[in-house]
Amino acid sequence: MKTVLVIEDNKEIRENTIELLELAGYRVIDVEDGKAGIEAAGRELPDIILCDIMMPQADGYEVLETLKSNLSTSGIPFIYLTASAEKKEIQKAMDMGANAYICKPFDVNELMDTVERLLQ
Amino acid sequence: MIGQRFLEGEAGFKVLFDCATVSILVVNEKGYIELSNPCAEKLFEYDKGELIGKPIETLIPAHLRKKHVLHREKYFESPRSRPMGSDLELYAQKKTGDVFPVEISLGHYEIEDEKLAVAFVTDITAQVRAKKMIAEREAWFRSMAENSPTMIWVADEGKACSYFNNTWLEFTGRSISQEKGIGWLDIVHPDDKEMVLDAYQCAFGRKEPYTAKYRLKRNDGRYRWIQEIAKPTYSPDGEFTGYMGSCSDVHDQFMMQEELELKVCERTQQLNDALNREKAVSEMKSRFVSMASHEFRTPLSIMLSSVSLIDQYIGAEKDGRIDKHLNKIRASINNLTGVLNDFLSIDKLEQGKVKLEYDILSISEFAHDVVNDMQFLKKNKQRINMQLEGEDTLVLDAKKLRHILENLISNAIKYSPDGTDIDLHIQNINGNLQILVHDAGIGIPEEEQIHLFNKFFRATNTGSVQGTGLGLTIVKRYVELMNGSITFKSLSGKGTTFTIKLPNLD
Repeated sequence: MKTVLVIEDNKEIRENTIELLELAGYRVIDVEDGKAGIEAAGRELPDIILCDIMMPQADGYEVLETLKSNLSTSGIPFIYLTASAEKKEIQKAMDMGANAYICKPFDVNELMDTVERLLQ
Repeated sequence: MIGQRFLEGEAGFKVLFDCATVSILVVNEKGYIELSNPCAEKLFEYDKGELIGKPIETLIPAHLRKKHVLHREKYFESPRSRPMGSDLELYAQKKTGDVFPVEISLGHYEIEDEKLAVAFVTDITAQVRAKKMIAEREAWFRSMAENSPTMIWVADEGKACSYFNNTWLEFTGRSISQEKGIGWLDIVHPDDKEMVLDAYQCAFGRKEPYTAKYRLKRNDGRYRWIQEIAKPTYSPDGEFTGYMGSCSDVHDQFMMQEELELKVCERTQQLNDALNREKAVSEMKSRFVSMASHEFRTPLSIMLSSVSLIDQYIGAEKDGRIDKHLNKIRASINNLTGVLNDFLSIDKLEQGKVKLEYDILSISEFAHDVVNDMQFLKKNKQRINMQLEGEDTLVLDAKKLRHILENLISNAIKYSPDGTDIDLHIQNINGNLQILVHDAGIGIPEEEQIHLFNKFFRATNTGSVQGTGLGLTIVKRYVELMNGSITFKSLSGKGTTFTIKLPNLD
């Protein structure tokens, strides 16, 4: 069973995302801020990470930067999940080495397809 | 000594007498001419010897003759050598009657108790004429300086002003003695004194032309703005002799200009204020749009994911009615997301933040993909027909082209009834892409067509069909950004055709 780490500060979105992923057969670990996300990623070494951008205690960019600088976490597929539709943010995220970028409100199928694709 | 003998000898005297270039006349006590030399005969235009025996007054203009007789008699009373009438202008008269100015020296001698006077006469016509001309010219220059419309001053090499023309004196209402030296400084405005004196003294130091603007007290006690231009002056042999300046009263122009500048300043300030307010409002709007977009997306995400979860939890048990409502919620969320996206797009366009990104496209693949995506929007029995012509490859901003096409097709769907055809005709010939989107929908009322691309405009016949009135505004801006054009033809109740022309790089 593949493990997904969900880093999202909004409780409802976090819960829904967990439920959707669990229904799809994934094991899910969740944290509510960037700092906890970095710790969880290092500790649990998930198969894939879903991460919000605007969060307290280290934003999504900082999370990715830290994970990329660490050999044990740098190879984990990383998907940004964000409410910002700003092109420059998307560009920044991709430049930093994210594997995908999904805008909120996200299409469930798009999310699942992306996760599946990146896990292959 | 030979010279003495020469003079005493008759022959010597004759040579002197005959060859002298001054006219010599010898006159006896009774006033008759005893002798005249050739030069005199020539000057007075008489024949040789013709003057002898004539009264000397013959050679004097008629109106002076009587006076001359008196002068002559007086002279013979105590004759001595002297210039004649040294302080007078003397005139003589030729045989022709022509009168001309002369200079005369008188000498005398006696022979056998007879007193004789010798007059040496020089024609000074040329000198008199030259003198007169100089005097006239000087008067002309003086008059010009005095009556010049500008005020003129002249300073010597020691910085002291030595001359002020009438115009200056009339302006200040002061005498030349009050102005001379640096007297003029007394009537320069106290606030300008230092500056004026500084400019004046510096200029003298460098011997360069200078200009100054200062206030000078007029004869009515009021200070007036004066524009001064001054230049160094030099003698004909190049020696620095001081400065000459001319001043004009520019008070009215200056005040008008000041007033104008003040007005311009005020207006600029007002404009800046308005601009800043506008900018602040625009920034606030941008912040609001950005905030709203972000803040709306979170609840929308929750709703959409919750809908998906409900869908999955109900699973196979759900009936058609639940499905219908779930789809309605999904459609509403998508609709709201679309509105948010439109607001964001128009805001970015207005802020000039939208840039083109070129992609190489296969127009057939691209168009089929777009049309496929639009299929789910179609109403009952609507059909989208596509016709492609020309080259397949082109270079354009794919995202914007997709947005344009999706918008026009979704409009065609939205505003056309069930069972109608929507025709998409794409032509890519010689680097020019032309897209026609035709529907048989409600059309746009003719009188409203002019507003169609205006922000937030919605035609009166759109009824309950939802929309922000931003879709076509964004389309038009995108088309223009891509250096293209968009036009349409529409008949109310019959349908609409949009035509887009886009140059592409391929």
